[in-house]
Amino acid sequence: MSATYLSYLYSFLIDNVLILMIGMLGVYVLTGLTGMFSMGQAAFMAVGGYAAAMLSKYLHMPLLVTMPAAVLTGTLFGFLIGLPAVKLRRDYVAIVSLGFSEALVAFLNNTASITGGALGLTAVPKYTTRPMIIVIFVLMILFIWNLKNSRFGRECIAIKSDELAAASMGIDVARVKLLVFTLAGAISALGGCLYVHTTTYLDSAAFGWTQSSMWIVMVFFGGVNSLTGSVFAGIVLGLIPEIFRFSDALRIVIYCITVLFIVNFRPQGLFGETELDRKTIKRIALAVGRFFKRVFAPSQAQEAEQG
Amino acid sequence: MNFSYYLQLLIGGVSNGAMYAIIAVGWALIFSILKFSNFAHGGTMVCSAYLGLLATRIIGANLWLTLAVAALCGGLINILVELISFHRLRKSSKQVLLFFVSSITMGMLLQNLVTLRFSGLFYSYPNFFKQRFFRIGNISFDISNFMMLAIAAVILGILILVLQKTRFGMAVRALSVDPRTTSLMGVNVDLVVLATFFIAGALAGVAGVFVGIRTILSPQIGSMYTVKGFMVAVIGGLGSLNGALFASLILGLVETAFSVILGTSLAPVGTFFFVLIFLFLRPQGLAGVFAMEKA
Amino acid sequence: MGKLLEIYNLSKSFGGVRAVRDVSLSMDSNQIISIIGPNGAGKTTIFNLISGVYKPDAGRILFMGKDIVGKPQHEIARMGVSRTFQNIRLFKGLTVLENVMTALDAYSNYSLFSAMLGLPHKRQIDKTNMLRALEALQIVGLSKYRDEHPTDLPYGLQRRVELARAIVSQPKLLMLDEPAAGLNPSELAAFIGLIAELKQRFGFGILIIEHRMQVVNELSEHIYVLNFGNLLTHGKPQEVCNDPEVIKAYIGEDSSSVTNQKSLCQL
Repeated sequence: MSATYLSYLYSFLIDNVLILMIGMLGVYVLTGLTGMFSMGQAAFMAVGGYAAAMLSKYLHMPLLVTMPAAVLTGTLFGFLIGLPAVKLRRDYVAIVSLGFSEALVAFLNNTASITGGALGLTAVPKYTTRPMIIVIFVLMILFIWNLKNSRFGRECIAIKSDELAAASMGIDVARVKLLVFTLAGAISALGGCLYVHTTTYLDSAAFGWTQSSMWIVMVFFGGVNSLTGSVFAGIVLGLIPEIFRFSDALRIVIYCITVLFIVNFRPQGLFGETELDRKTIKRIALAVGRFFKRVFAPSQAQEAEQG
Repeated sequence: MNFSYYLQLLIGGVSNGAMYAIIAVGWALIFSILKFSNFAHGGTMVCSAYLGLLATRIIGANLWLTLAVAALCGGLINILVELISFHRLRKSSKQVLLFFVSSITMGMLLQNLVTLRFSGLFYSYPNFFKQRFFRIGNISFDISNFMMLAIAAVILGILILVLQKTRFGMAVRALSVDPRTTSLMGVNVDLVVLATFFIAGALAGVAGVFVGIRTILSPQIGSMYTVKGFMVAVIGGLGSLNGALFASLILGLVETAFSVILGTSLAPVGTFFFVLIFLFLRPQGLAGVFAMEKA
Repeated sequence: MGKLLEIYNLSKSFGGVRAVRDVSLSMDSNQIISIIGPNGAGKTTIFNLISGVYKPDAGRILFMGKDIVGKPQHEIARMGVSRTFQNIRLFKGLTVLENVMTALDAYSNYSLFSAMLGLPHKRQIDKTNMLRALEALQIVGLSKYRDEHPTDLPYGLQRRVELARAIVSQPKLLMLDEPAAGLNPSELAAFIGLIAELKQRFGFGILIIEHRMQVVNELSEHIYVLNFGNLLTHGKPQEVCNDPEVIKAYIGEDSSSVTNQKSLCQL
């Protein structure tokens, strides 16, 4: 592997994989933690992306304005879509968000003179740098890690596991769901803002439900409760196809086959409920150490075990 | 804008609804026995639509032969769908998320297999009808609309008869109420599930041909009609055949109406708000009854 | 001092089935009351009506003098009504300790932002809650299982996790739905001791649904007997289990000859 190739992979990882994964973190909060399906989560990314693109392209606003504006727009839409969604049954959340995303794409295509529609919006100012994306990405993961280990995280998992029991613990189920929906909208919108300032290009087709379901697949693939698992899965699923340079369609075919294998033979996902935290790393290190001992000094290891 | 214009619109809407009905009834059948939606439905549909297209290209099949080929392919594909993405899960897990991920992935797989083979280009079916229109008085009607309506009616009629009069239909209905007892009564549950998948797949195949006749084929219609099928199924009340039929008709008409009022490109926005408002007013769907959660 | 819980003429039907018919009941703080009756008598439905899962068709429920009919589940819970479930409903995906902490989370008042940033006062609150949860686990004797997942524990221990989760918020009314189901005799004795201790220590009112007469007789001060949704009778344990009506409902019509005057008290 040449150095140029490695640096290309590095830039691909950041420009294409990490940015889309910020959007995925919204799905992690929504689906992974709370168990609600948003089949239209990419629409929130579009909302943030378009807000940022409009402000920077037409009004020449800097990132310090476009980013909060994008997050705010995402928050607002998350709240508005969440309001009816959380009152409905769980499977209906999927359809409400799905309908929202379909409607949004239709709307964008219909306002092509401003938004570019299916043809795309070009020449959006490039504001991001790679270190900046990495910093934001790591910060977001940190925030969500904290969230998971707070009362909100526990309440979300409780709701996912058993709504009735959660309510009988005094948890206001509808309120927590709405909060999560809003937060997920904000996170995905942030992803959209970074996306558009990196690629400088935006078109409505990128935010259909294929992207949304890809996120769900990533979250699930990594292990439903596991944040580190989702992140790991996102990087692997994002990077591998590029390494092997598959065509788009072939890439998705290979994705799908891998996922189907996992669903059937390891339904809890790669990481299950385990987080890759200090404790787990220590356990893995110990196991690896034992393994090496057995391989390289089998007699000693046996003696040690017998003794 | 006169009487004949509205009449044509009405017929267009109803035939649009008939197409949805074919999709939604297949959807409802599977929901009623699995208690979960099969999101690979659109994938099966688009695969069999393209296979039907191949039949017209290679052997120059006429409408009936194309329908038969597509239905058969759809049925067989759906059997694969069951075996690959549901079979193990049905036995081992009751987790909704898994069914969702599994079926949605299967749908994406099917859709992208089509993309691999046909590389995302647009194809269209040959014109099966010698004339496109016929006239009564000074009003002209689109023949394909009428044909689709008639075919849908016949197919759904047969299906309802099968479900109500045959042993197989009884098994399906029993399964939808209580799978465990049904299997204890000596019904081979796996076989019934497979057969149901075959029927739903055949319906998806027919729907695929309809879509091909109505519009231009592209792999994306798979996900597009999965979305629509889901909407119709929810409006109808998940798992209810009658509900699905009515909901299809309503959605077909509503969509046609919105495409006139708002224009084709904005119609989905209108439809979305319609669905949203509908669910707000009647969250259990047209026919659905909520199962009371037991504490 | 007013009553802890008063129920007047409560009724609820599902479709054509009248699960609860015209039931009235009352209890004080620091009192253990049992509801007994055959399967399908409507016992769990009463719990669900009190805790707000279902809305009654008719009747009033007063909790500490306040009408709670129509209030959402979480509000009733926050007023101090907590419960366990007949078919254990612990949260999968959370450890034993986290399961118990969840019952306190509804009362902690830090914001989403302090949670995401991990601010000091968030950590302070979580730490206090963790200590309280550990204390509750210690009371039920599960301290060493704090980091296990509840699904990995045997049935009897899962019941105790549920109990810890129900008592950690120090409710005023504790409702236990068949808490002794599936326990072996020695576990049962320990369990009875535990409930008695809890009442001594926290002084909350306890409402128990139970089949096993040993639990009912040893613990409760007052027993209500339900049959087919109707209140058959109520009274002190001695009175109730010698009542021929109750024996009939429990053992069947022809039981008098078989059991030969044996009262339910010796069962």
